[in-house]
Amino acid sequence: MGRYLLKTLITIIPTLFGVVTIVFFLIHLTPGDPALAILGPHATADSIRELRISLGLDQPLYLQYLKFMRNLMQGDLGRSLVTDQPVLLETLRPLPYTIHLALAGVLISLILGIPIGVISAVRRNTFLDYFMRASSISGISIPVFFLAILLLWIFSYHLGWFPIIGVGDTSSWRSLLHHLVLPASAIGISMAVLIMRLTRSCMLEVLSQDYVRTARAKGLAEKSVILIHALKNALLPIVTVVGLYMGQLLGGAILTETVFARQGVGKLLMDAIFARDYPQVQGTVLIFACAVIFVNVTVDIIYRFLDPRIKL
Amino acid sequence: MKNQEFLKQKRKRGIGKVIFRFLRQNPLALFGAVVIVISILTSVLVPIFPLHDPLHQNLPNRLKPPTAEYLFGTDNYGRDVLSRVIWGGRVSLLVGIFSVAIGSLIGVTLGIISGYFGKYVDTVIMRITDILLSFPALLLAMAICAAIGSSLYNVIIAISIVTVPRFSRLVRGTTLSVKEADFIEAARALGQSRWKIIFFHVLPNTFSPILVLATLWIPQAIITEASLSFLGLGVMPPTPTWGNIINEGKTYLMNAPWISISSGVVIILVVMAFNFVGDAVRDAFDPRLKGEREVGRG
Repeated sequence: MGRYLLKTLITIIPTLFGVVTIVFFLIHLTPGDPALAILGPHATADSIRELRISLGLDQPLYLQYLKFMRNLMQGDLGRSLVTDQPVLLETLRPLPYTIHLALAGVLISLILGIPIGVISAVRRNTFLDYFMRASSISGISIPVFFLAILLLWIFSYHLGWFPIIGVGDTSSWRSLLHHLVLPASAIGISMAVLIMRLTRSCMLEVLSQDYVRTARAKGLAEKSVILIHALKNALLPIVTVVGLYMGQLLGGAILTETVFARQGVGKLLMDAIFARDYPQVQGTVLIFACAVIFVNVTVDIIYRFLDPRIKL
Repeated sequence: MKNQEFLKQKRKRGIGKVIFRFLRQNPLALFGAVVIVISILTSVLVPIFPLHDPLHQNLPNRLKPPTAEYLFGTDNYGRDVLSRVIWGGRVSLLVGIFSVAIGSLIGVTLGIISGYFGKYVDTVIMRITDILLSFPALLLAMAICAAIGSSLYNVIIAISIVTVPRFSRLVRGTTLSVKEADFIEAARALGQSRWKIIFFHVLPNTFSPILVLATLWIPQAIITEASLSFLGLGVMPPTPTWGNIINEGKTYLMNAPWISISSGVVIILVVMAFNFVGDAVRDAFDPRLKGEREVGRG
């Protein structure tokens, strides 16, 4: 186990390094002068030069890169050009709202996706199964931001059940929850479709295994065969794949946060892009990408830990 | 059973007949194909349609609900939403199809080189592929658009870059298995050059998984383009695309929901059509790819 962990950690180092490098060069090769963008078109040549020097933009690119890497090792992602606060701090502040949204989204997708997937597999090739599979293809085809807009239109504008924008009153969990329902449902429903398809195929595979036949042969009730013998074993790959959806989940979070004007990390990224706050954009993209890598690795480790058939 | 029959027919008959039989056996794919053909034809022929100018502003006519003259209503500048949705489809389909075409071309080339030559070439290409795949697709496309600016060409570049590693990973795997086949050895023994072997023997054998992935990636590319435009990072208004029509309509959701909703429904319809066809093509050609969509969406 210890050796496996060490090996995994060593293999993700080049990937992390590559991600950091790509993000750095992407941001720094941006056409146009950031100093000019910050100061606006009426800035004098002197003030632009001064700002370039203070931002280190006058140095050659490789020196800027080395300096950036050195600072990164010390946990320093630079300062936001808009607020002059450390980028890391600026990103951590809205992080809880994004984590709430992501967790609630995953929860909803599991609550919807797993039972529907199980029913679809058990009632294979019936009308119910066809109906659910057809709706799943339609579900995959709905862009998450449009789903969010539809929910907003129906449940906030027409029925007035839920608030329209924001994350709510941070001191009251009821208000936070009330504001969370619609955005989390948008993410949850779009992910539930994938989970449903996956559950269905995992269940079909497990249901054809010998031990399920044995369980049936010894006279167990169908309910306990499906829920205890089959589902328990089908759940393992499902839970792992939820980790692989992290990237999609984050993309969904950026879009839903924009629709519902929630002050999460996705909205922070969008605001930074439009304000041309380069260090903030760079830092947020980096944190997002690294989070996805870490979650994937963690899920992989948990999977190996949970499944005794895989030797570490 | 159906798939085997299909493949048998494929060997016997011409390609046109095979496609016809295939569509007749898959009603959902037929529906999808019809929708795709209609939408592509509409996009190509839109200049000759008797539509209102999608950019023409008519302020007294703003936010009018759907009527016989304006089937999808008008937007906040009094522009015809129907005309904007159809013209927008031109841009959205163009981006979807072109970015997958460019991305797959580069990805397939890199994948074949990586798989065929192996060694350090393989290591370098696959490392870069891994790094690109570790980015969430939308985030990478957003970062590229934010860096190089928003325009039609840049959106195509951004989505192509996101598409490349998906294809190179897939094709490398297929190349590795094809490379060991006897007929490749035979070609080598006959003294054919490396590039001839790659082009005439390896490439045709990687074709069916490529086709499957491409049909499943076009809808993803259309959704990514719509998401970028919705966020304001894609093609800029006033040029209509499905994503930015939804974005512009969002502000008027309360009193003019038809702006966002008509565009959204059209996206769903077209993406669904591609998905129906993609699923059927996958089932017919390559049952091994069953999990591809589940994992490939990241």
